[in-house]
Amino acid sequence: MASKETTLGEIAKGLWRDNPVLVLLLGLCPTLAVTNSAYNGLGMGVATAFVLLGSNTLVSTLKSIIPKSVRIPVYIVVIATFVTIVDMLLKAYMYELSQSLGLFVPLIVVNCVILGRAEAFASKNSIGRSVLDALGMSLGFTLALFTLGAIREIIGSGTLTLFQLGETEVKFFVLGHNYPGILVMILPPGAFLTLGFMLAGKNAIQKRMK
Amino acid sequence: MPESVKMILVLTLISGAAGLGLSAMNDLTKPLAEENDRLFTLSSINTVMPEAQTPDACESYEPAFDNSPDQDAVCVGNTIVYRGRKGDEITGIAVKAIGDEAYSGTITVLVGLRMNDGVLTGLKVLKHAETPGLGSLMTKCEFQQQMVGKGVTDINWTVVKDGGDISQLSGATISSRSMLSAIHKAQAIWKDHKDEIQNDEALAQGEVCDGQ
Repeated sequence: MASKETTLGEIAKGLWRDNPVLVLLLGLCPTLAVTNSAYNGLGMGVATAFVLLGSNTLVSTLKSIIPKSVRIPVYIVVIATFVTIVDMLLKAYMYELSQSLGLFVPLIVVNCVILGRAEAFASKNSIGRSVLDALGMSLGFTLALFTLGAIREIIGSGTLTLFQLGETEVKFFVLGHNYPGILVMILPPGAFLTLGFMLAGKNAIQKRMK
Repeated sequence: MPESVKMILVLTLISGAAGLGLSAMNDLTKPLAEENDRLFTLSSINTVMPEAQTPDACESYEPAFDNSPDQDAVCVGNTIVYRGRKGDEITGIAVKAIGDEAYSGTITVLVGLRMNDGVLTGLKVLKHAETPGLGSLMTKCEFQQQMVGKGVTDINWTVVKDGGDISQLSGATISSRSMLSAIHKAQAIWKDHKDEIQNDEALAQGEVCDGQ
């Protein structure tokens, strides 16, 4: 990985060239599990983004005082703290989302994207660059999850849910109200199928650009 | 400072700071989260205790109580029973019943029963992990319609496959059976413990039944 990148390049890196889902193939467990609707994908992406931003910033700030031998426990403590905060915030302010994401919010702790960025990037780079790296990576992660969720939801249930809080709901019946739905797309196999096509699509575009 | 001391010190300090931060955060969000839980319980009780002679599962009605049933619960065995009252009289109960092992774990159903005649007034699945699109259809009112509004002896409360009157969800007979087992439990509580429910003192705030 080249260490001299422009500000924009640092963000673009996570969004496209090193996209955590489509290129690094990291953190696939939440990716495949929660993306049965666009809103769930978006929610998971934003929750992960918060944790990644927090942990990258803090790890990069503390990098000079963290002894090499205990760096992994320290990273885990930092990450777990942010994950718990996200979990509490969701339960307090976005009850429905916290219900539908369920166990996968606490499981962000073991999302390898976050530990990976702490170890591979934040512990070696300045705070500014670490924040940019986190921004890029989380944008890439969120965008990939949102796209995956949107494709699965549209094909699977014919709807596109962008927001849901209590009675307020932004939901489009993309394929009409009478769409019967294709169950397999909502079930886990649909996630694998869709992700496979997304990976193929990304590779095809990349090949053409060369 | 030797490396080993520094190691212990840094990890202790960071963990301590994390603990402090989290406890502050917890104090901040806990009341809100509890209020959300309470509102969710209350709205679930609302759905299963509607003000209607023969309620339709797909319609919404005014609640058949004017107290706060979530604060007026009793334990029958290990099961929590919310009591809805009009004035002093108990009009209905909502039983938080756990069904038999379904396709994927157990399911928890809030079963509403009218106090005087035991008519099933509503169903709300609180927790399930059934297959989306198959077993999960039990949360839909179209499936529940055939049960809501029926009394204990009006119909045979088993699935058609077992010789009863309830059309099971196609491809999800096990889930349908599990839901019915939860209803059976609630009906048994209504039948056998009517007096206890009337007389038992309400649980104190925050108190819960065993195993809940």
